[in-house]
Amino acid sequence: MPCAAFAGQAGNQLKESPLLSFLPDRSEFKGWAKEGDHQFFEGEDLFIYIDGGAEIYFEYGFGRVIVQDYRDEAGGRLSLEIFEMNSPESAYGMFTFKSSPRGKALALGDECQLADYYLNLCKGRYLVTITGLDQDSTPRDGLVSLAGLVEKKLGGGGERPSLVSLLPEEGLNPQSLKLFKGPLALYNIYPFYRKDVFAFQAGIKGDYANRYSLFLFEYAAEETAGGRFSETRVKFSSEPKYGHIQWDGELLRVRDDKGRAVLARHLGRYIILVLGEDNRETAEALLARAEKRLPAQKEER
Amino acid sequence: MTRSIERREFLKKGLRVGMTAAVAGPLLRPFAGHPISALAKDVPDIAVVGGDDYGRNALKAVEILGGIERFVPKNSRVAILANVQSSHPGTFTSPTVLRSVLRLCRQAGAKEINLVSWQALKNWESTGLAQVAAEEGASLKLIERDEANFKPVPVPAGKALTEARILTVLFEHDVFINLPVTKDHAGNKFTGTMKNLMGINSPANNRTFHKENWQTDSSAIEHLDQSIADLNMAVKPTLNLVDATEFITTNGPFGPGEIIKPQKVVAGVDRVAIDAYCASLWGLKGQDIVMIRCGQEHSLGRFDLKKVKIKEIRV
Repeated sequence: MPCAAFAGQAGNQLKESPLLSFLPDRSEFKGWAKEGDHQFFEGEDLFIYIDGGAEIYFEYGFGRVIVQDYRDEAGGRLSLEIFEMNSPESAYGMFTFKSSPRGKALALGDECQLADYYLNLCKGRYLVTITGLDQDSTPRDGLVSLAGLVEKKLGGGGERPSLVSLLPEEGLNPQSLKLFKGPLALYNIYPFYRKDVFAFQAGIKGDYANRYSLFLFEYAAEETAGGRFSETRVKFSSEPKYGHIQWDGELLRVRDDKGRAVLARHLGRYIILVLGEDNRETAEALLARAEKRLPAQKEER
Repeated sequence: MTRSIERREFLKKGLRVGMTAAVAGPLLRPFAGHPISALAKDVPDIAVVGGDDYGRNALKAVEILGGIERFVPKNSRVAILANVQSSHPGTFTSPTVLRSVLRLCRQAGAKEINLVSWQALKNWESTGLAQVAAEEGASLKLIERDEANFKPVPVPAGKALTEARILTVLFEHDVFINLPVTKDHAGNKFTGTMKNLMGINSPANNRTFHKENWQTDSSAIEHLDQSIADLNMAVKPTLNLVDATEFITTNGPFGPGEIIKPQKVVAGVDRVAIDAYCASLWGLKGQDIVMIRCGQEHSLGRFDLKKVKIKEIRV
């Protein structure tokens, strides 16, 4: 049964909240003190906390979250959120969704990234977000210190989802990785369609130095992937935003309404798709590199 | 129940909350009209004012629209809906912008100014909006989420929503000022004037805007956007004034995310046009946002900015 303990609500419910032991106290987080009570939300009560924006967490697999604000002696404010997701893959996926392509990777937890005024970290099935509430005057050392304290309390880490290893490494911006567990995340990265045409089991996207993005959609079986690719080809033809459609029996080429090229093909349990400038040679080269990684990886799975 | 925080109480008692009973008001009192015919011909549909003094931008935007008196009659009761969804930077209405709007309402002779919301007091405090309200003599009307505090309003032309449930306290006012921040949204990519009205609709009713069991599927985004457009048929703000000064363009609506700083305040009556303009601030096209298209289909306004009279200045 979902339950929520709100700031200001008295009593044992707050003290007994799961995840409470992950919150550093004043003796650990030197110079900082908790400001107000923590908040705890479980299941669908996430909609109370993230009103109007919780769906993406559910798409990745949300369990519960604890939230605690901190204030330092100079008045600086940090907000700590610890999300317990359903699996390490869920936590990693949500981490990639929230990360900035311009952030700086830190060696903390399974993954950690420091952006202008916030930090995201994942470890095992936990996702930690720390936000400087005063933006430009955010004490970045406070962000990192708090992340380090929490990270030590989270226990063992997880492994990167195997899909990540299927992306060619050369030229890949590691900060650009986005793991999808459903259509909403994909739609936020590039709205191929408003409908869930790809209907993938999982997917990943990475950006490359040549200004191309590579998408890899994974399916449970080769037949499923093939069927879905056939349907995708039809949908590209019927969607007004796409034109210049070419199909040679293996490779699909289209151009979107912003003049970007889309190249896609089906291989085994995967659909591979390249999106970027309309340079045929570059796009095909990236596609070929991606294809080479798939068969070997597929046999291992 | 309504938690009302008056200025003197706020300043004297800090952040303690006083409890007062919500008084039932007229069922559907019309908000102040828009005497367009009395306006000078050069009054635009949308006023856009840029500059690093956000408070001044807000003042100037209203001035360009013909002045606050056009929207706030003397002795009127004014309800204001700000966005206090999150305290993360770039996700809530700027306190500086709110302060200017409150001062304008006072200048126009409003007898009562209330910030209406079912969001928690914590949100108001951590965003700094509660402090501004207290300093400027406005009251926080924080409504419990109990369905009894919301009035059913039929939406006969609604395609996804046939009945809205609007804060009852809103109908005790003569003027309704919609004061959102524009920003990203992980569902429909955009938040502006129209989506902000979910802040006066009951949380239970808002949940029907989203697919059951909270899974995203092929129709989820269309359903959400259509529901928002339908909701906007139930209530028409007297004035919309959008904080487009600093806002997130990723990880919306809650953040934290990438922030851009156009330093603009956008004001007007046409919600569709305003939203289309705000969407353009970060490269989106109004016609690509289903909610905006649905708004035009409901004749709430026009998204073709070439057909909208926009006056944009920098101060």
